[in-house]
Amino acid sequence: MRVWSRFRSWFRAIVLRSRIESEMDEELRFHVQAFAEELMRTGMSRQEARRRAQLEFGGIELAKEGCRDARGVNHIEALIQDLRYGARMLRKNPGFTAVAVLTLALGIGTNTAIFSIVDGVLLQPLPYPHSDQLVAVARTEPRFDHPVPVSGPNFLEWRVRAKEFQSLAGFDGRGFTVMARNEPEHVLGAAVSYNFLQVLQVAPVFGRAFLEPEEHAGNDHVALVTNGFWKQRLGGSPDAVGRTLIINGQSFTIVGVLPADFRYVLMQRAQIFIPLDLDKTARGENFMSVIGRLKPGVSLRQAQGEMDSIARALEREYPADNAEQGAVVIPMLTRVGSSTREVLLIMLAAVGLVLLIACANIGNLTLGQAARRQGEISVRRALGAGTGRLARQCLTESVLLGLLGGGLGIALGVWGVQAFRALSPGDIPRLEEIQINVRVLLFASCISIGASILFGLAPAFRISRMSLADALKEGSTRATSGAERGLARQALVVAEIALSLVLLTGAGLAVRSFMKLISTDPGYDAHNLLTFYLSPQVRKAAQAGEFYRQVTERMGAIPGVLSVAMSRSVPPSGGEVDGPIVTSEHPDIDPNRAPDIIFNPISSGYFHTMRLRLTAGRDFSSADVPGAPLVAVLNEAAAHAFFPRENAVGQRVKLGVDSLASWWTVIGVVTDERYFGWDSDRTPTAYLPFLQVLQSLGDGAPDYDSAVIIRTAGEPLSFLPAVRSVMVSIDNQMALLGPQSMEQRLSGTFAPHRFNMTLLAAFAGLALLLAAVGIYAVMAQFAAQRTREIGIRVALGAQRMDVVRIVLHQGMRLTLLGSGIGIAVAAAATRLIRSLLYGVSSADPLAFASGASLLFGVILLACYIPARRAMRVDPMVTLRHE
Amino acid sequence: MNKQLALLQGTLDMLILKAVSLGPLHGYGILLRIQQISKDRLEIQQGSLYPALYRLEHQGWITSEWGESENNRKAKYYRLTAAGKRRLRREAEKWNRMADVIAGILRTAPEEV
Repeated sequence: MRVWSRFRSWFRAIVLRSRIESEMDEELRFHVQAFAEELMRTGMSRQEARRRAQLEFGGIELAKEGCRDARGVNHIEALIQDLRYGARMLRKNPGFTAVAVLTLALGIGTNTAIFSIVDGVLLQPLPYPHSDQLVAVARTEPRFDHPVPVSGPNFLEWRVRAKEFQSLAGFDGRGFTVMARNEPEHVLGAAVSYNFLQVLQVAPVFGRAFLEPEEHAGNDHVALVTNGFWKQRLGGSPDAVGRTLIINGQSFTIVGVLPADFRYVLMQRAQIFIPLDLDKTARGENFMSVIGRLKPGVSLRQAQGEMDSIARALEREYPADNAEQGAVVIPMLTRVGSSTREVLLIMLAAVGLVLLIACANIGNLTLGQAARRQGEISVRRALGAGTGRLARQCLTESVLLGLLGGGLGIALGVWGVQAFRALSPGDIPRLEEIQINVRVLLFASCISIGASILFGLAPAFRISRMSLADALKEGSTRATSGAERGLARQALVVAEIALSLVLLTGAGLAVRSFMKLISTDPGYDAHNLLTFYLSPQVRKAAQAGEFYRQVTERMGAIPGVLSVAMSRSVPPSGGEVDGPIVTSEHPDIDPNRAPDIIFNPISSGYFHTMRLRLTAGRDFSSADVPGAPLVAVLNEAAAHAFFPRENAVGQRVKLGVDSLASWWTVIGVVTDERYFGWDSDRTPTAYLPFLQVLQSLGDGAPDYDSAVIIRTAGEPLSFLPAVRSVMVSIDNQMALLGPQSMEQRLSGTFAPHRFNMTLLAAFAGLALLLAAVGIYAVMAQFAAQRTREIGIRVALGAQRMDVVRIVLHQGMRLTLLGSGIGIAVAAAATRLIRSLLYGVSSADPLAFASGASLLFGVILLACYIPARRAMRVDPMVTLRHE
Repeated sequence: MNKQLALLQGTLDMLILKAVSLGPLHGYGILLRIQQISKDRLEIQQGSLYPALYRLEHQGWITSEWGESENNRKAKYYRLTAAGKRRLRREAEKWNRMADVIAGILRTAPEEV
């Protein structure tokens, strides 16, 4: 019943507001009248009685306010009132409203966009059932600070021994050559354990998953295809199951088609899956990745504990291959985001700063607005409005602004996400999963309201501290230059300047780093080089040798082709890391501490084609063939790393790969090529003659893939048709894999850096713009307030430059203070973006200096406009006006 | 006339409940009734009476309806509800106990401690 009475009183208060107001009025009037009548009965005059009655009753409005409060609905009612009033105020100041809403929308929009990307990539559960049970299991090795691939035999041991997992599956990403309509085509895919789909808990829409026996040679010519591949290449008919597909020159039977929404998040573009046959792989050959599904209720720590003990047991049982090898269990969601987490969080921090600056800016505008409205506020207070009520009014207006800005911001955010998706260089996983969902909307609304409270607090706080008497005394129209408000606004400007300097410095570093990246000499001549990979379907080393001999010979004969070379990997981002390398005659080098090295099997024309320079010794020659002494050429980085004080030529090296673990004699040293994908771009590299490597690998290697690099006389891509037709004439089932000019490869490597730099620069530009608007607003008001003073000074003989100096002096003081703080904060903050930087220290003085000077320039401009206006003050007009 | 006592905090609600327990009254009537019962010894801010009435009504202890005053004018009359009656009884009990305890403490002679 009491609940009901409260509800009824709320309901009445909201719906019957005006009736209740008039009833309340009537009730109080009745009281005063009845009282007055009684006083009249004691002989008082009507007028005197009414005066006394009113006096004794006290403030009628105060009593009404008390009644409204007592009903417990005052806040709702007040809110409605405040909203109406606020909306009216915003409509009356369209300039202020537009600037504030737009500023906020920019802040909220960038935050919404970046947050939805963070949400889609890092937070959203993976698109599989019970995805929290999914993990990646990888190998650890003291030499690497990140998880590394696993070998087949070790994975098989893991799968048998691990009891905390429902299942573990292996995965090896591959490129396949698929025959479609008699044209060889390159399709990405993978070889997977038979239980791969079981781990993900995904079932094919047609057909079946792999069976256990299909993991072994003889039964393994079966394939699963994605829905997209099935629709585009197989016509999308259900009878595709059972059909034959030519993959890498061999027949595979399609046993199943995957669901339309299926994607493997760790290799998004995989379209074909075949069984992973591990029978012939070596324990020391680490090439595959492993995923697993934990049993329900098993924690990550339990699984990690089990894998630790399995790894220790394997270390004891196979010390040769497994010494110091551990295993690490990582949630699959973490694994997916691992490459982008840092960049995304940096972007989130950057837009967070933009939002803070936007808030400071609007806070500043609102303070200015509050100063103009001082008169109105004083009058309302004099009429009995409580400070709390007025402060709330102020906050309501801010929240109203916040909601407007937030709404526009979300629209901007949607657009921003689309732009991000379109412009992203494709290195971000799960991009298509990004969407503006409930969580994102919640985030956007929270930051809109949070932000509006943040920027509404300053004026609200001011109102609550304002002295009524002073305010009324100072007059209603002219803004006062109270030291307190001046300080608040100046503090906000200083904060804005400091924050935008932090962003500018960060962006400056990103720009510097990118400039460094693109201007770095890659070490080779990237102009007019055509590159592609080949994957010959041969089983014997001799066949591979013969195949590549034909390729180099016949492609070299194409008119306009200057030279042709083969290389296992192509810079800037390819490479085969392995090691360690062990040197003979060198007791100083501890084999376990030896530097990592790339070894690259190349054909003899490689240095000539890439235009690398020999600095010592000789190039490979036609005499370095199987059977002849094994020879190697080191690059300068490798020569320096292994033989710092000696001539490398004539030394012998041994590679840490089982199949290549013989002694190779160094015959020459060449200049470095840069592999921008690696931590150190001057990677120690050992070049080995391709034919000798083939001989060491022997028959039955996992693949005999190689890249072909062609130096052309003109635009390299124009040679593609000729190269293709030569290829077909050698082998009509062979596709050119990933044909690109070397310049395309380089720019592809730079694309993520370019993208990050552009985004950071855009955010910093936005910050700079907002800060400029902020300081302009403050300086304009400052100048306007001092018009009279300036008028007097001019009348007393001050020169125009003196006037400009007054205004600029004030602006520069704030700028210097803000920059000081900003540089200090930036010095600490830029350390966090170190991982984004290439060849630039996070304390790069040039980035700091250019950020600060750009800021100074823009702010000088923002101060100059009000200063010039002040300069033109006509002393007669001003003084008369006063 | 004795100097009027200021109301103790929180007692106005109880006095209003008591006043309307004797029969429906309008606001001014409640003021007069309290002054009459207390023989004018209590000082009541007239303005503060109404917020208290609205609060009591909001809490459901009293209800109101419009009626006619003695001199035929429209006035809002307040009446005790059943819940209000219980509330008044409880409050009065509490008050009496409290008054007893306090009085007992104040009466204590030094030698009794």
